[in-house]
Amino acid sequence: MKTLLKKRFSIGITGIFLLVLGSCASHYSISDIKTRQYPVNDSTIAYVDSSIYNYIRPYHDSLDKIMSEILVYSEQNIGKGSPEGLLGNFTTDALLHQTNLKCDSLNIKHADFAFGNSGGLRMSLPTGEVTLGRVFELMPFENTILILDMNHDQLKTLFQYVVQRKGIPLAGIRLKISKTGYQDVTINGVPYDSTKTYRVATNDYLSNGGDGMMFLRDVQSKTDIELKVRDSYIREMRSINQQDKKLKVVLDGRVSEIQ
Amino acid sequence: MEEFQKYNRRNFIKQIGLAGGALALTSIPNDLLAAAGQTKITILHTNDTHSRIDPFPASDPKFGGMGGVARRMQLINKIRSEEKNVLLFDSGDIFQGTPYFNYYGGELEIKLMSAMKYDAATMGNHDFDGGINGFAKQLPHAKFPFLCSNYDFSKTVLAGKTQYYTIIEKENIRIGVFGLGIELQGLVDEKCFEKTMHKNPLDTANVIAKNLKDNEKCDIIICLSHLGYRYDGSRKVSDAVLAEQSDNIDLILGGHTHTFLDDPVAFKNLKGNKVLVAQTGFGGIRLGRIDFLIEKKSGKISHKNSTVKIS
Repeated sequence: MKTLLKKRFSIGITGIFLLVLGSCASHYSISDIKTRQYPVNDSTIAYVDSSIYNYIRPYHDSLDKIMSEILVYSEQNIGKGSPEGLLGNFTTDALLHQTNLKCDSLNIKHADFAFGNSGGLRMSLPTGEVTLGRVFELMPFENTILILDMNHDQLKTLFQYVVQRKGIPLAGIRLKISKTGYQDVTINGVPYDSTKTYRVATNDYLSNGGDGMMFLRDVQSKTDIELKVRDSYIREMRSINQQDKKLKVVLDGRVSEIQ
Repeated sequence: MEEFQKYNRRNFIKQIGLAGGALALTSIPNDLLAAAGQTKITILHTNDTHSRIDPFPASDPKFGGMGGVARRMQLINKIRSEEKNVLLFDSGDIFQGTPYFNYYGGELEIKLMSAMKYDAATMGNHDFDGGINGFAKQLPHAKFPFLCSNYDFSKTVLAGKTQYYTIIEKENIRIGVFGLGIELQGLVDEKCFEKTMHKNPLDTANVIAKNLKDNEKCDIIICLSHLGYRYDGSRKVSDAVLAEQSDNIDLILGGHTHTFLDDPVAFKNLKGNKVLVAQTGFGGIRLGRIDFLIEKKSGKISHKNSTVKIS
């Protein structure tokens, strides 16, 4: 406490000099004064006027009825990671699985693999109850799923993008990345075939060139399967829960770094 | 006469210095300031609140129980009851992040900001997420201007509905405030921003700030920026770049990068003057505060800032 008093006193003294100098300086200048952070916890803002809640309540209550639904129970905290993360793995696996179920009902060809963007994963998932509201926070955007028919040139650019970003969320594909390149690409356990066109599931944001993926704008054939990205996660979770299972995700080395 | 004033000032400062053991600079009574010919302008600010109406759920590993608009409003009301000249700003990304946005399109976010008496805000990239029409639809709920100086909306439904800048006067002190937005191409889907044109933020900022200084005779110039704090190894214009390459801005209230700056960071501008850059993370977890002490005659400014954690 004593040192605090001293410090403040010395600030006061400094202030004198600045003010004296200030009177003959330019129109005005900003002097550097010590800064402080005020933590405010429940005890400092313990009371909130009920009139404030009145603004929020009608919106909150009707939304809460919908959003408090428990979709699944999670065995672990599921967060992002690099080059591979639990959240990236779960969301892209769910997207690919639900895309292919949708393909069955549309009677169109499956997607071979899927990719997403880490920046689009806005919130981690907690251990225990995963509510619908939480999934909205994880995936607040209204993006839809597209299947892109990609040729070798376009896929090369995509793989190089994976290298540059040190891994992105992927499903149905494995590859090794170094600082400069990639190798050992397998798709559904089969080595990558550069003569083939692959069907690749992703979201419309990336497909339209988002997150630096301008090269995806050149892809000629894109199929909108009319399924929202968020709904693919929700369907996957409900289905796990219906099988009386819990949500469990592992890192399986689908993207690994080599020297 | 001048000597006399200096002497009095000195005594005044001494008193504060001595009393300072118990009093932070922010809590100097306003009548004491007035007696010394000083005025205090209190700036409060948020950024990237992202539709966080309710506090983060208790189960959140990082931010459990923190934030919440009701508590923010209570806090702001308390500060308003203590301070005479309070200004409240937001630096964009008001929308997107909770189902409140998905279900109500941003209506509640804007209504609450009006209730909290925000003085101005700028648009972040996510404020385009409901499309430019979605944003325009919520604008009538805003009792404060949206300041966008480097988005050209002339070919969109937002034409004429935002302002380049605003000037707020408190006790004869003129505070000029303008807004800067980030490049949308590659960040926001084109179908959302439509024919919005993005102009170079640096050039725009210097033109606007010079106008605020020279023609509008502003005493303090504040930029609400959604450019992002800093991009290492990139030439992209950030708040750090803007601060160093500008010549009239005093304070940049930033956003976009969700940077938790415990204290504003001081930069030197082209004239060698100090520019402060502040940002309060995201989600309404914190409320930033910067107090400018202004002496009318010499126009001398000093400041004191603090970040208030809402937990």
